Amino acid sequence: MKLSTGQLVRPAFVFLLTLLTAAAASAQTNDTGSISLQGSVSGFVEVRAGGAATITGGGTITNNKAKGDRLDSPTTLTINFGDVGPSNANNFVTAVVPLRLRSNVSYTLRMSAAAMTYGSGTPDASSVTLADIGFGVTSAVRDSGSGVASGTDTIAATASGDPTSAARGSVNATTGRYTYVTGASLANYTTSTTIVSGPRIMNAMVPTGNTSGLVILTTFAIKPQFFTPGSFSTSVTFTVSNP
Amino acid sequence: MKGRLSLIISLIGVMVLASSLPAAADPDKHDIGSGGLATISSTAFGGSVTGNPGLHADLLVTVDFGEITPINTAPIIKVVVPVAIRSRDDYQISVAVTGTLGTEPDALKLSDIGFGIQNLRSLGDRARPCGINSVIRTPYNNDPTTSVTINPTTGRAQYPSSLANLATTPIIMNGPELSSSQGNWRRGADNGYAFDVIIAVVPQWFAAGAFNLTLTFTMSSGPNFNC
Repeated sequence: MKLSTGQLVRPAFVFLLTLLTAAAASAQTNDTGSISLQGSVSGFVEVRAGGAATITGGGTITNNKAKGDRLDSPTTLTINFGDVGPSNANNFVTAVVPLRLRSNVSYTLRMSAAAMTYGSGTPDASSVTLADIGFGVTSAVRDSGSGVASGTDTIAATASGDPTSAARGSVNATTGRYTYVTGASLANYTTSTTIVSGPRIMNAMVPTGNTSGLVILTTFAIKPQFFTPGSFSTSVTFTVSNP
Repeated sequence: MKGRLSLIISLIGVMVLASSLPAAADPDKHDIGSGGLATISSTAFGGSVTGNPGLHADLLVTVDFGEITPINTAPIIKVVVPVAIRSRDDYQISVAVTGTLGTEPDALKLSDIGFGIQNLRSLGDRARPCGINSVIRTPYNNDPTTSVTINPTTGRAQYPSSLANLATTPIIMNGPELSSSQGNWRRGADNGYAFDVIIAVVPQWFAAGAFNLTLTFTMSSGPNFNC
């Protein structure tokens, strides 16, 4: 059998092409792989105890907290003003509750007071009411040092000040009852109301790295008076949000 | 007769080539692929990791750390990605980082993601023994979840090696030929080595935002490595 040149060349060409292709495959000396990383950082705010609460002029504090503790878990910080009748000769019973705020976004701190409830006795117009419990924010100071961002915090004008100061309340000349100015008693906080606001508080840092943050001092006070005998109770809720 | 012989040879050539053509990512001299099941330590706040754990699979893993603000109470989020490597000559592995991050000073940075290499191990009988002498380059030979510290000045977590190091020190490993010439050169289950890439993030007060990064591992010819 005779073979033409074409018959010989074509298979050889195919074979050569095959080898070239194989050689090209052999030349691959690198290989790659990849890992994709993603994550998210949401706005985050928190309110905690800014240290131990204190009380003067009578009363007690139970379930007191250390800086960084939750105010309501596992126990709830409770202020008992004690006897606020005429037998208490102090000018005021005053509780100071430090709060610590931290955030990675701007924040607004609000406060609300629940309706007063009475546990004993027959309440009347002379019983202790929300209007008889003074309230004020006396300072908002960022801890210095690691992790705390610089920024200016604003205490709402109506909430700013010591409720026991002369500027924040006085004896009503007609009724004789001690009366606080607007914003200086719990009666003005039956709905959640802004008390402090400001820019982000924390730089990027590990939450457990320290207990620093924005420390806000809140003050609650009752001036002992001839209130109707009985016990009373309310609860105050602090809420921080963005903004 | 000669023509038939040529034709037969070329057909055999095509068949041999076809059978020796590896799967998509099977290389001829260097191969990097999945080394097993990738894991993440914290899934409570959206963390997840996906990838094919098979030793025949490409290295193609997606890690979502989830939420990394303080709402995530995990002290650290640890991701372990096993990587399999095979080679027919001296090799090196480099890693490049691309992607997007926030620009604020308090946004997550490359230095906030710990990155280390651990647990180099043989895949089996057809791995060359000398491969275990491969060198994990400085500073990557650590587990960032155990070597993490908190900067006393800033309060930010810091690591001996992080993704930030890859910009200046992209080569993470090098070593000798890893795979025996026995058998076919394919992505086998016993003809190379594996190591763990460990990636870690500590939830912190980062600026709000999102990030998306890609780590590209490239295995190529490396410096001469005497065993």
